Amino acid sequence: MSLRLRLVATLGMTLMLLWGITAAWSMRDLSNQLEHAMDQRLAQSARMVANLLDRAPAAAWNGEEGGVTSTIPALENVACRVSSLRGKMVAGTHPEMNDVLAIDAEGYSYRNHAGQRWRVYTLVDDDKRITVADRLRERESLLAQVRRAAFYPFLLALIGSLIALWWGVTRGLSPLSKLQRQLNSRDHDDLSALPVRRLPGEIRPLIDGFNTLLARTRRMLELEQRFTDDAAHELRTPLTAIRTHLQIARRVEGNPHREAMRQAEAGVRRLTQTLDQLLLLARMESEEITRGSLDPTPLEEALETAMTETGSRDRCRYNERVSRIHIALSGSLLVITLRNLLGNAVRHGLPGAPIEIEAQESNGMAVINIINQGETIQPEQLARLTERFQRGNHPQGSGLGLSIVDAIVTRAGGRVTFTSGNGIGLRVSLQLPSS
Amino acid sequence: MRVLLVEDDAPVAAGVETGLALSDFVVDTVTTLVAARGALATIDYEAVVLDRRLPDGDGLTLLQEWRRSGVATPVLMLTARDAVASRIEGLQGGADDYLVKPFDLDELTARLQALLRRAAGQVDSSLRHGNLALDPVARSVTLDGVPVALGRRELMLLEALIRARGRILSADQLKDCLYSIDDEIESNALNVQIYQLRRKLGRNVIETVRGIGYRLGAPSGDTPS
Repeated sequence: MSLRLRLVATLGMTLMLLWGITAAWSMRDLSNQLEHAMDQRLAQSARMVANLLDRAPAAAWNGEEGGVTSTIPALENVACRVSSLRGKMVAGTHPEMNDVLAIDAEGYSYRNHAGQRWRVYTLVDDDKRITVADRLRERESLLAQVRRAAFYPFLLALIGSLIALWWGVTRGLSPLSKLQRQLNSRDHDDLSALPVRRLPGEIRPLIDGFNTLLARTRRMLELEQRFTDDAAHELRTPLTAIRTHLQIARRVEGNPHREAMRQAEAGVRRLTQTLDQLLLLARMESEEITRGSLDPTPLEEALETAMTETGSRDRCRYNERVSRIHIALSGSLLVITLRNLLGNAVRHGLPGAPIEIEAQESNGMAVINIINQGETIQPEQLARLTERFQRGNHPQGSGLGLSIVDAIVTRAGGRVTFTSGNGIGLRVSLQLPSS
Repeated sequence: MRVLLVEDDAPVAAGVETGLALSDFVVDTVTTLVAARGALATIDYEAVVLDRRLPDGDGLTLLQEWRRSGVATPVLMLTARDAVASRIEGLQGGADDYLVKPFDLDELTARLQALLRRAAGQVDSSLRHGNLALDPVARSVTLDGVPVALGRRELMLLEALIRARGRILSADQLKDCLYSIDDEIESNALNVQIYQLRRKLGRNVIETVRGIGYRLGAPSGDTPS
């Protein structure tokens, strides 16, 4: 249900209900007032007749015994009867209603005659009794006329306020309608920010939030696009080498054939490595490595394995403090982390120079520094080291190693920082929860 | 035919170089945009195979630069990006053809040959000169319909002369067509090949223009096509 419809329906129904109650109330009041006024008029006419009769010559009453009855020409809706206190009728408008109008007690009452209902008032004067009556139908038709006269302005006002309500709501919601039109006319791929100028204060935060979300989505998409491009390049390049060299191998013989096959195999190895790293990274980014839920790994053990796997045992220097530290991270992940870092140090560090490993523990965090000598890396390159497929000036390697290290350490609740300069090619500082 | 290959990935470059050499292309490989710019300015290549993603930038920017400065050399672009948009971008940037990695070596060769043929304004895939016909794809030569066995370099030399369509080519230009920068050239190698061609196809097939160079002799035989 649209906001506009809901607003109009709620307000409209409330309005109609209030107007209806007001109208019913006024009508009831009006009927009562009218009835009262008519009754008073009835009583006044009875009193007027009484006064008239008082002024009439007394001789007129003398004929009482004579049985003379004056009949006044009848008015259709009003009846009048004058009688003596003993009940003898002296004058009257409707002889046929004689019985109906013969009432002894003073005051108001209702009477039925020939299917019509009458309002009757009886006044007892000194020596006579005057009864006047109103046909009720007459009163009702009067009331209906009054009601009709009041109904049309009321209806007009009601329709007018509903229209005003619709217009007001539409106008009030026009920023929303404009926004809706803007959104509808946008391309599905359009991630540009929505304009916030001239937006009412209530919607502004909503659109601001929406724009922030759009910007984030845009950045994510850009990153994903770059990753896809990079991945395509990293996977297709070795594949190209493999295919080309296999096609050459088919056509040549002897040494060139062997060389081509060797090149193809090197390509397969490279592709395998890149794929393994990519899969590892994907697993790392989807799996939850919860801190503390794993058996702690002795740092020395993991370091030994990593050194063996990278063939860097001869070049690594570390103190015995390493043997006292246990890291709250599964053994295989810690080995992967160290292996990547040592592998980098071997590949990019000054050839033959020692690789230093420092370790210390404080406040439940272990700090492991892996330092290799070499050329200084520029700050802007340092900042991009953990980006996927970022290889710097080194064509070897997949460019994923440090992304993997970063993913593992971050997931484990730790931190990686890189520094370079003063003869140090790269100092990788790992902060990991210890146990 | 001398081709410039701009590709930074060493295994791929080695493969393409060897593969094209099998079809008698003479390939020089460079790995950066800067080197490519220098190479094209120095040597008159007949075609360029250009990778897009290079260490010092996008190959497309170099291509656009070449096209703006009037370089008309046919360029075949290589890329790992297979999105249609990026292919269109490449072709609109001035590429004559576009191949997505991993490509087939035969397809690369065929496309390069098609590029050269189009650049020469030639419709038929074989090159003709009088009663002499050279098939650049099959690497064969016929004289009056009879196959003639030619050495690899002899065939390359003949192809260069036929493609020159009677223009005079200097000894250096001919050597450029036969050898890459890395090849060791013996001083009299060109003379030996010219001698061999004359011996196999007749004395008049190559005409020596004294002091300038060589050109194809007047077509012999009565069947020009």
